[in-house]
Amino acid sequence: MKIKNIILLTLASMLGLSACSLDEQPKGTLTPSTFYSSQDELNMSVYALYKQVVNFECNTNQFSPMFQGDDMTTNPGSNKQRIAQADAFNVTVGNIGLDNMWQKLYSIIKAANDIVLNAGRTPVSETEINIALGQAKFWRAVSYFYLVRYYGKIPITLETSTSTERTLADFPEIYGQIVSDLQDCINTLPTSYADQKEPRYMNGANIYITKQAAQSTLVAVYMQMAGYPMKETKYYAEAAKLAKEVIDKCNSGEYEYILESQFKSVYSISHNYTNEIVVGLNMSDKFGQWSEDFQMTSSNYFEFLGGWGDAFGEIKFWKNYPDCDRKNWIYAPTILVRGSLLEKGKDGVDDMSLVWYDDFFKTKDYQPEFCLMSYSVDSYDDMYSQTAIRDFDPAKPPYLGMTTSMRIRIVRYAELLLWYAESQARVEGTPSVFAYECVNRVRRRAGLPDLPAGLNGSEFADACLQEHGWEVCGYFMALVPRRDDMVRMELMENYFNQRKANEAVEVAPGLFIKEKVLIPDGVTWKGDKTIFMDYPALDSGLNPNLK
Amino acid sequence: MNKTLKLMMTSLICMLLFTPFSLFAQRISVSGKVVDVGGQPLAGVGVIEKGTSNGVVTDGDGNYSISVSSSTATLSFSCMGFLPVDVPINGRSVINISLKEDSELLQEAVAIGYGTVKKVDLAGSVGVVRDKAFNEQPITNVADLFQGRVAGVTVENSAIPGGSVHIRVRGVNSISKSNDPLVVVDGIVRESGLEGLNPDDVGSVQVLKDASSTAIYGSRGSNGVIIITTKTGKAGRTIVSAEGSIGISTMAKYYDTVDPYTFAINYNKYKGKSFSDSQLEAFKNGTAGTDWQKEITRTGFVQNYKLVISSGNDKLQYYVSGNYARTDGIVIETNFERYSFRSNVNSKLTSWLTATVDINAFAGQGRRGGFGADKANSILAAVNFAPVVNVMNEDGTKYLKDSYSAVLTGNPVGTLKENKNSHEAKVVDAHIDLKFDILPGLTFTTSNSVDYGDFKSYAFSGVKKLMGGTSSMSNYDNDRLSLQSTNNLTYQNQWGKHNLTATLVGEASRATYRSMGFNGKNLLIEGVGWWNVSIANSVTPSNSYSQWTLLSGVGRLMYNYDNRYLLTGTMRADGSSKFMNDKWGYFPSIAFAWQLGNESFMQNQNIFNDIKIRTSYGVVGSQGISSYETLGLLSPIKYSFDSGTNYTGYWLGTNVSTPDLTWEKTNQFDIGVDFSALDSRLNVSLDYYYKRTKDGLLKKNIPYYDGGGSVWVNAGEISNKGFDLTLDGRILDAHGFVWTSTFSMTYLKNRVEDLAGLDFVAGDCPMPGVSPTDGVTRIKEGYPVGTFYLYKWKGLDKNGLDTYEDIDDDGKISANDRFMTGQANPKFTYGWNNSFSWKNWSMNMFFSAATGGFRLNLVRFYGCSLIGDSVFYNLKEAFENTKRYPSPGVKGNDFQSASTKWLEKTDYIRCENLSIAYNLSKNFTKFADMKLYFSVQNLFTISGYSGLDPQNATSFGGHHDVNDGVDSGAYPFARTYTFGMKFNF
Repeated sequence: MKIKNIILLTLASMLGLSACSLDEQPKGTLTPSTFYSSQDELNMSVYALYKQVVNFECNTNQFSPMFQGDDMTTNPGSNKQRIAQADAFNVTVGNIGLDNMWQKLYSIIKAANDIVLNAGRTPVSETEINIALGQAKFWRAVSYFYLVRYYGKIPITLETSTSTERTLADFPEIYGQIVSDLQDCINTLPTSYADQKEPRYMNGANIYITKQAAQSTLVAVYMQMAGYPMKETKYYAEAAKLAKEVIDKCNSGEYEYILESQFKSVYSISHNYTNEIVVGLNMSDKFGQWSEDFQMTSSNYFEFLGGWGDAFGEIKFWKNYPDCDRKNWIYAPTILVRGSLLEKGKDGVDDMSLVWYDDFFKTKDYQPEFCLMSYSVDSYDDMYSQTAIRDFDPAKPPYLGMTTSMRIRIVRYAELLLWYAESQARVEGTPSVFAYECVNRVRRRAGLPDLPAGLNGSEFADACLQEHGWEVCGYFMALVPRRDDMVRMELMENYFNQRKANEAVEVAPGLFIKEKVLIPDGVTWKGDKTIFMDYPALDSGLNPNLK
Repeated sequence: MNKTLKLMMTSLICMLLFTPFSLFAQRISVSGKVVDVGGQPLAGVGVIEKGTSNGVVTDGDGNYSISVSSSTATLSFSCMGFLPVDVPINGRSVINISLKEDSELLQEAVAIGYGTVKKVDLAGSVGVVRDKAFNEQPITNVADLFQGRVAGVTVENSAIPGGSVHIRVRGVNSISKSNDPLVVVDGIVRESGLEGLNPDDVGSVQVLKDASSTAIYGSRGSNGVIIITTKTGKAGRTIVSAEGSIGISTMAKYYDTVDPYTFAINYNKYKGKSFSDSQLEAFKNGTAGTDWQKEITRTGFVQNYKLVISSGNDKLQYYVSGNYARTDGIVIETNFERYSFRSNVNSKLTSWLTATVDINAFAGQGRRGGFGADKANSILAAVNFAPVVNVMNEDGTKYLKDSYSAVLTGNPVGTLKENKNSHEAKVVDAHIDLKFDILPGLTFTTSNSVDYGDFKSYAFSGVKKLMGGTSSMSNYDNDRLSLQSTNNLTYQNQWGKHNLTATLVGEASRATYRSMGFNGKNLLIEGVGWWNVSIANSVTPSNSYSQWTLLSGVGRLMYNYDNRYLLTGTMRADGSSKFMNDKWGYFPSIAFAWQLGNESFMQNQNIFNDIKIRTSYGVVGSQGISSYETLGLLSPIKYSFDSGTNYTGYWLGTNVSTPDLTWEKTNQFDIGVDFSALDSRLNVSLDYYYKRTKDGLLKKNIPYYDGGGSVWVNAGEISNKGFDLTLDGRILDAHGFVWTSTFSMTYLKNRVEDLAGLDFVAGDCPMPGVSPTDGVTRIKEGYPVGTFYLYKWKGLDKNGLDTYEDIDDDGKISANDRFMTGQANPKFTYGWNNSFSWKNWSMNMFFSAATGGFRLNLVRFYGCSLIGDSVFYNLKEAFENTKRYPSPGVKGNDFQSASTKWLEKTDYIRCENLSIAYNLSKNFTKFADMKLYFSVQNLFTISGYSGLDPQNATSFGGHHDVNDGVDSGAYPFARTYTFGMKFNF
């Protein structure tokens, strides 16, 4: 019996305790140390980087500070308070728009840093490594370019490790980093991916960043360096030189960029892959919502008409905007109101197209309505149908589904033309014939007459600056929105005071209307402190250098 | 399938109910009276013919009459609180006896993990709940057994039918990781926790609280251990019992929302004329408008049917039980249904081998509404939806949206009805124990268990009837297989006054998890629900695998000298696969107890009947991180570039490799005293404890500028100190009237002692876009876990605007103006359980109470704020209390959710249960002992808290406690009226 016991005992113990290893063997997962071992893994790192860029670009919140420009305002109530706070220069800490902007930009930087540090070990050609490095450095540069303009001095992170001791870099260092990354891109990136597969090249457009995209972006960076806060005006020369190089190569056919013949095509879904786009970002609603789709589609419709009412036109800017074809594709010339809304509950009332300042809107949204991101459908039944989307038509019902596959137009060729013209005039003091030609190409397309001949350098440059404002008006995803032109040229304080005074604007004979988002009494102009946002509370809490 | 089973169960119960058991012929009759030592008649004493199921209960005068099969039979007399007695009949026809009181069952065996010990010999601190403490009330969830019944244990129930429960033993130890206690059922660690256990199968519950008791579970014991011993068959005693109960539940409280007319006139006044006079008239006379809270709730219905059969002889005992329970929740479209089955067979195969086979299986299925911490929360939505909006349009084809207040929220009724889901769980756990009696005093037991769980969830969201949105469907299938082998060698012997028990255990556990699922969006046809993924325009599949292994060696020595001095030492070594470089942890403990009552000098006093002083010290650990978390795995992410391919990318995400991460360790000191006095009518147990967690597993925030997220570190020290007090008394016992009462009280002080140089750890943001991104709670040195971090509300200024204290005095309200205030968890918790019996009547009243806790009421914030998601006021108080709330037309006001304006005390006292039962003996019913009972749960709650319930947990933040205390709309805690019948055949 006892022997039997002992055998059983031993057997039972072995049953339980045998062969249990304490080493972890995860399945179906990847570890950083073994990554970058093949072309596919290198591609995957770039896809993940692009997805971080998409996370930044896909909705309105992170663009709240762009509303400080004199072109845009928002709904004073509703859920637009975070935007309204920025618009009123009165951002409270914890504003999700500001936190998101910071967080999402630094996520791009983290993804880029990993590629920059490790892509080199991938056993593939140098060309391939350069393409990956170029994408990473480009988006890292763009991210820092946003950060430095909206937060001022910021910590520079070029590693993937973490530290709560990072210090704030000053402007020359930050801009130095941006310029160095972009110059690396210019030196290593190809000018076309036409011979390569998607996603690098799709529908006749380069999707990955090319040399010329990096060059054009660097033009914008140089111009900011020439203005506030660094005011190193010599960079206008660099900007003009680089812009000229790109424009010349476009004219010679070496680069693909064009100017669309009509402004209506600029933001239209039917010209989604237009080569007017210099730096673009693909968005898609094919694989589910809220992750990579363009979510601003119904952002600008008035809320009571089914939109979100994110961005409204500021009345004075609208008023000063010269009447032209372009204006009608940026601001809805008329707003279609359903009969049932006109007289509540009554059927058979005809729909009406009203101007935004019609009395009907007085108790609702009473601001110029942007149409540049809007689409139309043929009938009210299709308002949520993605397949029914048409280019915007003020006479047709709006498409109210929130998302589309509209590409983000981060930099357009029209802007590059204006940047060249302005920089040339600022650096040389007299506008060149070529500079006139550049700005007038944009004006003619807008439906405006040429600039008068004989303007002096600063008049001409200011006209170009104004033209750029009109060109990107309301498009807050532009790399350089109106707000940054105003900061660069130190127009902000003046605008702040005007906005605070909030004088009514005569929008039609005898009809005076004021802005609704008000700068509170206690908020005063504080220079840098007004222009640059507070650091997110979490980061300033963790790292006292950010206080 | 479910229907068939239900039908079978129901018919079985009906059969049992209506078949008169007239099987006894040719019998002789015995009668008599049962009294206590003082001569008082004892009611409710069970009188059973030994070895049969034949039995009766004494009436209010202590009289009984039983017919037995022969004059040589033996009668067994038993009654709660008294020592049972067996009396041979020996031909007598009248037998009067007196029962002696059991001096608090000190001889009762208490499960302590890898063994049992007589309560009297216990050196550590163990809370015990016997079934007598709860069998008077209808309990559908085992977790409800703990609330207020064990000092030092707190329970928060999500109240969602089939939803989760939050149990804490002596407070919160870990900042970032699970604080759920370990659940051990019959020696086997149960991965499903308490889910799916039939409360009727629970024989006794032990809660191991101090380190001496929990250290035996080493790595997993730091949150306390709940040991459940299930019922088994008893030799010579056959039990066939059936019980059925039905109940209805109602809302215990509603938020006081504004009526449609008041809403409309205010809206017209402040927002421009939007409602015509005829509309106003309709609101006024009640022909238009909606009370959304009423629309999303209903009268709930609860059913519970149980059947137990157990029997056995000296060689073989068995216990079989079945249970069907269904709850139709008080929120529409929520329900839960559970079938469970258990069988336990115990057999003495040979003189040296005993085998136990235990199988427990359950299938549960439920439907839950949205009660997460988000804006779609059903309660939040119902409170904020404008009362002027109708549920549907006139032809009933669309759920209407709210364009007045909750402009961004889906219709609360439509959301609940059109977003369908089903959560299904099927779990089978089984174990085989073989116990070898090798030598006198030496036993070897091997327990081998398998616990398999399959969890499916389905969801479908239709958009046809809702305006806007995307239709979607999903299927998820997760399974879990856990294996445990425990091999226990125990030696026990006695030499004179020396008594020694030595235990040596080797144990291996492994759990493997697999999951598979997909979700589809934009369904071409909605009618297919979640059952046809090919109808979806886009599909995202996912799968995963993970596994962990734990190897352990345990040793324990228990030494007892002369029943006066008790010494227990334990040592456990644990190796966990979850850690990379530092896998092994060692957890010692020591306990000493002095049975003062057994000293000779105590024999000459008559104050104390028994007195024991205990003290213990030990270390327990936690490995509460997930598998592979130390590896810093790359995160997958998808992006299609607007092409037809959804490309997969990999990046660092927020994962960080932490190779040196290791065990979290908790040191615990306990000193306690147990005594009984007043002829053992009063039993008192008092413990003081001090726990200090070191190398706490802490998720350290990473600045956003380094990518955000957080990283595991062994930092952080947390202390918990407090008192557990239990008073157990037989207050009244005269003229057949008995009142027994148990009072428990816990005081707990939790404090973060050290954060390893970190200033704070921020809680999660409970309401993105509304509350600050760095949360409303903070972990900070010197404060308890779950302390709020808020702006200090100063009231309204002269312009009627909310003002907040400028704490850093910089002239504006900024992030640094928040301060630490108020803790989420109560400081004192109380439970008071009373049982009364008189003749055939018995009554149970159970109260619970807590003081010192706070909640941040975000539902109230939404109802009383003009913010993007809630454009107009909805709670009546916001319109009426002009001293507290800005005018509905206010401009430029800072409606701040993270402010003390919304922080409220949650002190409460609640009558958890009131039940009255009437017992009918078999003599009367002719077929069975019968008990009829009626009970009310949550009869009343007295609290100043403005939310629906002061104690109800918000389903937010998973299992860790950083984010406690935010009320963003928890499932309402119902008042339930239950009627039931129980038969013992």
